[in-house]
Amino acid sequence: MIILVGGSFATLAVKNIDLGSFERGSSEPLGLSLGLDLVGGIHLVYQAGEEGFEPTADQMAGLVDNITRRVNKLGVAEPSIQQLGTDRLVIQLPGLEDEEAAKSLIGSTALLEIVERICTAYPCDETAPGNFTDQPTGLSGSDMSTAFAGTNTVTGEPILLFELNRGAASKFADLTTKLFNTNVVGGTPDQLAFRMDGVVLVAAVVSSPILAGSGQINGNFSAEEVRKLAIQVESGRLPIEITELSSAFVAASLGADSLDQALQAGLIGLALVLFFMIAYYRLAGLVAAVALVFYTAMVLAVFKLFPVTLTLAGLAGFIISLGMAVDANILIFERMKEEIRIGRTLPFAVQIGFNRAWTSIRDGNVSTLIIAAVLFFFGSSGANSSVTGFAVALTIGVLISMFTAIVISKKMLGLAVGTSLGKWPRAFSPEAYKGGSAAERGA
Amino acid sequence: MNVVSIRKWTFSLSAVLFIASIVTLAIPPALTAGIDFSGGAAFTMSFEDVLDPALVEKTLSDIGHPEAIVQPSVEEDGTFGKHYFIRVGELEPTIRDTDGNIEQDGGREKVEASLNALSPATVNGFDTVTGVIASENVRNAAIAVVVAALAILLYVTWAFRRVPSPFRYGTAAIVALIHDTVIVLGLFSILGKLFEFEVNAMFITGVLTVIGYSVNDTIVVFDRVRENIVRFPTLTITEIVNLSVRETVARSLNTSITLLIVVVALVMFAATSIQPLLYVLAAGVVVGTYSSIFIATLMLVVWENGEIRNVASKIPLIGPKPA
Repeated sequence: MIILVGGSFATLAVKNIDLGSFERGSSEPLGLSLGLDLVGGIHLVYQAGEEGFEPTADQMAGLVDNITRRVNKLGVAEPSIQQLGTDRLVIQLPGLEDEEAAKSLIGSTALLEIVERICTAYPCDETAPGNFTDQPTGLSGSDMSTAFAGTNTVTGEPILLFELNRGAASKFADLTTKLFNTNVVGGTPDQLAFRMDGVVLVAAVVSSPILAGSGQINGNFSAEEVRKLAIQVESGRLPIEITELSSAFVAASLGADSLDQALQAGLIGLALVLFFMIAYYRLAGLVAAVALVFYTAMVLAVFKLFPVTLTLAGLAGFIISLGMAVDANILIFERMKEEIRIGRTLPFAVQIGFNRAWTSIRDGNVSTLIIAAVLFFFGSSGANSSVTGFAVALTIGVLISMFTAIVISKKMLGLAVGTSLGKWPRAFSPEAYKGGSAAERGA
Repeated sequence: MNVVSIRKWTFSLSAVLFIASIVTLAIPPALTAGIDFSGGAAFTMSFEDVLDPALVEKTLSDIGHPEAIVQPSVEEDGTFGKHYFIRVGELEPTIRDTDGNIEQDGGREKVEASLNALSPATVNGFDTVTGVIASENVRNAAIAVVVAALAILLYVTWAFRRVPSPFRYGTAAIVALIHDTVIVLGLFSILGKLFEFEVNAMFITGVLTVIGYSVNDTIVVFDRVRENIVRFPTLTITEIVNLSVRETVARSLNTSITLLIVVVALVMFAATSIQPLLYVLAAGVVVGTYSSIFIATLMLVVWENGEIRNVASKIPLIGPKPA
């Protein structure tokens, strides 16, 4: 317990964490990753098509839809993607790291073609352009039902694995059989090539027909490239080419003072709550107050390590889980007071208070976790994923709140009862004497 | 304290609020969509002087655009305040005569004039923008709520399997959940119609929070009912429910008060853009606390006593007679 709490504070104290491959942290307060609404981000404006080209409303909607899918798969929390005028897009992405990666992911048309390379002489590759002709096969990235990054089991190289739709699978089988049949000794075998936006990723001789409709592309990729490729293939190609018009950094969409104000208000609120708890539950309230401070530190540390990009929606999820953490403490203390009132000894009342309150804390929190899980599942398919951010923050918060209420509060109360304070039930409940003095005598 | 005796009143009150909410939601627009949903206009503006973003925001708010999203562009050296990307809700069209001269100022001219008054400015591009949130998302959120309700029904039924008729507890919990959601939506529908209160992206988050709170609060009371049923097998459901509510009311109120303290603190000090969220939370906490005692828990009594069938026929008969 001490290790966890201490570790949480240490995590927050250090802005940037760098343990080899494990890098976390940012320049934001406490090193947390904050979202577009809280700190701002990159502001990109794109032109659809050539200047003067007039895209239809459907094309623009398709464009927005497609880019939204790409950005969401990149794992960017709560981007903002809007159509500007009739032929432009304005895209805002939180955070400032990986700007180039984000741009190349968004900007490329991502037309993946499967082409047949007819070889007439050797060598049959880019070094001798006269030796081959590429013929389209009609198969493209849109025929792939899934595409994901993997590694070659032998060489460990990153590869792109894909599966074709049912109709395309038989076409692909025919194609690879035909190419395989040109693979005869002494001939110049034709090749299978994959082209992305006109650039050949890989071209190779077919060593056996691929009949199952799944395959892999091995093109000397880096792991990052394969991931990007998989996202682009899965989200399909853009209906129109886009070109970047401008790129800038913008400050928080909530307005410059909002974050400070919200934090200030949150702290005032928290202070009032702690004051209320201590006034009403005396020493137990003080224990809860300390537990809540630990709780806040632990949740923020998990947010940082995960990492969770904190947006306003995420903060709302955190605040509601904070409310539930307070509630768990209130449930336990109300129960303790009841037990003291009917004359139980203090250590016993603490024990029973925790045990009896546990079922309601458990059922309440499990219900909340169910709601969070459902929201996460449905929220993740949408464009503005504030619902997902809310669900993630809520889940983490609730799990940790169960831990702090049951483990930390209990341990600290147990310690307090063990000291001379334990002889003084009034410190734990203002109503201790109403039910008789048995409690005091027993203690 | 005999909460069971006032069930007719609370059920009637809820029925009235629920029906009123359904009615107002049925009249379009169900909710007044803010810029996040409906889009509006976007433009970039360059001022001669460095301006405080809060001042720009306030100026726009004063001329009737509290929904404006004001984003200063950050310069290379990290300073900002001269160039802005601004989004506002839909603007009134400018009326022009046949020669293209302005006959009557539209929303655009008003926005430009008010900002020009702060510091001489140039406007680059004045375009329409679509909403950030597709209708697909709203639909997804709605589906999620329905699925969550069913999952809660199953879980609560399972968690209460040791008491007679556990299915009732699950049903009562989701009745309270639906009750809270509809009444909160109804309230904001009315606010939208009367005061042009706009809902933004945060509104969805707020409604989801209300749902989480509603179920959690209901289960605390149910948990005590479950415990008391086992402890006092001879008591009637009416006595059990009265006892359980009496035992948990301090906790229910304390939790609600703590949450309201935080919400009120935020309302007083925090920025305008999160105010809609806070109002939803405040309304949700009040409705959620009320419904867990007076709707969900009392439903157990009504169901056990077989009064459910009579509820509809009883509503018109309510008189000021103490039960």
